[in-house]
Amino acid sequence: MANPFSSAVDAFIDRQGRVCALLILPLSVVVIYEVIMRYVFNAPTIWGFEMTTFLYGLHYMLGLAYTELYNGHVKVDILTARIKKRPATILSIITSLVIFVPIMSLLTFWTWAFAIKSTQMMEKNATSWAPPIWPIKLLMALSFTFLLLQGLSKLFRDLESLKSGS
Amino acid sequence: MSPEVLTVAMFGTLVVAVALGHPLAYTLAGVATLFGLIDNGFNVQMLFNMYANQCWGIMDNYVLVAIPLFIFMAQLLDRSKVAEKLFESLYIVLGSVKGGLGLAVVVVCTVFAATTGIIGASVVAMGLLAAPALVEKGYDKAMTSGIICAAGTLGILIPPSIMMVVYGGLTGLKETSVGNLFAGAVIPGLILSGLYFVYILLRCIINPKMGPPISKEEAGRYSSAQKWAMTMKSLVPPLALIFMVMGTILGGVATPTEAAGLGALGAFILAVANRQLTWRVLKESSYATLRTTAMVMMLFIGGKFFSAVFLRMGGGDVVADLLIGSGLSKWTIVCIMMLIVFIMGMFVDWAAILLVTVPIFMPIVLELEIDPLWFSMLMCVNLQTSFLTPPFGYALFYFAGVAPKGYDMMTIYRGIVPFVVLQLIGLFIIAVFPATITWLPNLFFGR
Repeated sequence: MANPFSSAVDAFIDRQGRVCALLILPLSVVVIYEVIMRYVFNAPTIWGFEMTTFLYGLHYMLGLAYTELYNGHVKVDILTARIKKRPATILSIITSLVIFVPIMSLLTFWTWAFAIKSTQMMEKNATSWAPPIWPIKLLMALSFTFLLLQGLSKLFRDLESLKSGS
Repeated sequence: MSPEVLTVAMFGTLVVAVALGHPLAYTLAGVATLFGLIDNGFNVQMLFNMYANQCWGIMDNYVLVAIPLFIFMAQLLDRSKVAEKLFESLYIVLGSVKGGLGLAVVVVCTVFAATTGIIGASVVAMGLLAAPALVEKGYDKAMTSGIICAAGTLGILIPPSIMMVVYGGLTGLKETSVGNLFAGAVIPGLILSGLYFVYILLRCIINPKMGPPISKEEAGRYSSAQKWAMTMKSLVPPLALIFMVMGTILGGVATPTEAAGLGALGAFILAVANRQLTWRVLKESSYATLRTTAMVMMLFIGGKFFSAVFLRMGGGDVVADLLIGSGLSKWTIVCIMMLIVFIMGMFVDWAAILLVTVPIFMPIVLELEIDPLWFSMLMCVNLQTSFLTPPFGYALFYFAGVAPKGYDMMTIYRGIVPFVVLQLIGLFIIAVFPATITWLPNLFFGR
């Protein structure tokens, strides 16, 4: 039934999303640890603040594709809820081709360019901890790549159901 | 093209594109890209470099860290059955009053609104638990759905609230810091909750058929001492959580982000204490947290692209000139902005509205020397209606998804109307009496 590309992408994103969803646990732990160190022991860490934003950023970015897989990105279905399945699928294919595919392809490409530039400079944060931030930027670009793949998977599924459901 | 033409065209395109049913976040980014390219002479590299920087800026924003943490807290709390226990004891305590079960829903929702920052959870929990109980006791069906949807959405308004985290993260103004917004929203939230409470009580006293009391035997099964003990036992955990989160923020001990972390810890402890926490529950809470967080953050990304392009091509000035140059009074301008938000709320959810309107409205508010905190709170109360106003109120859909048999959308629509009116009355009250908003922030943070 499903085409091999969509099946593979969906299975991969589902697994990837479930693993990355667990990033909420270290995120919570780091925030709580920092609070305790600062207010109870009066000994703030130098890394807590930045570590928190890294984990938070990676958590939602790596979840974008997973959320797309579960149709979690809100849409206004004022029109699509009222039309039959076939025209709705056609509309979904068109909006995907006109909006999603071009935007996400360009965004993926340019965030890679952005991340590679940072990698070549081995960019670090200008703070006392001075953590490297190029790996985070690479993961940001990777997140958009995942989202693009997931969107393409949905597009192919729509095309397939259009062909088979006539 | 002149900025005026571009502004009108950009909004026109957005309205049409949104109606096509594509996810809002992508649509915002798409419209932004189209007009960004027209405006900058089709320089793809420049536009997408700006986008990449924007994305990085959002990832690097410490204030927004509170969003996943508050969502995680709500997910854990939702599975800890604390709300269910509170409703069960209030069922007995308030049940013998006319309309008492409706009042119990309002109280439970208000208490839980003060512990969680999202909605959905409480509307679903109450829809599953309270709606069958109320309908079975002969409560008016339309009113029942109205109570649950309206009271359930208080979660987005009564702090902590991810709506205010988004707002604070978006404006970056000192006056509308997340702490100030939280403090400012306490009294408006309680005013709304009070309005719901009084409305239900009056309506059921005038017409007891709307909400009959539970039978004497059912109410008489427990002595009043037992009732008190039950209530206290079920109230202490959420109150402790409220103290842990709001107490540390208002006391200036923790930032909202840190308080959100503490809240997640508190919810985790409550779930363990109620023997509800397994590895499976923890995993499922994490998955649900990620889906909600990523949805909000993708909207943040798309909305940021949209407002950046819009402001860059001079759209903000066009709107400002139109409103300020019109010679209308401050009040009229505020009313127009509120009306725009209210109408958008019928179709789009709060996050998209915030992300599109706030960057345009705030400069106007500052130029007119309107108190930004007062204005922001009007926005937040107004945005709560975006969950409630037909045809597209998300709370109504959440409720419809879990409602007992025999509910149709028309009944739910009918039931919500009086509560939307109450909401507008609440908006009017806080607009006319700004002290309801500013008193607490002044008290705690000495603004």
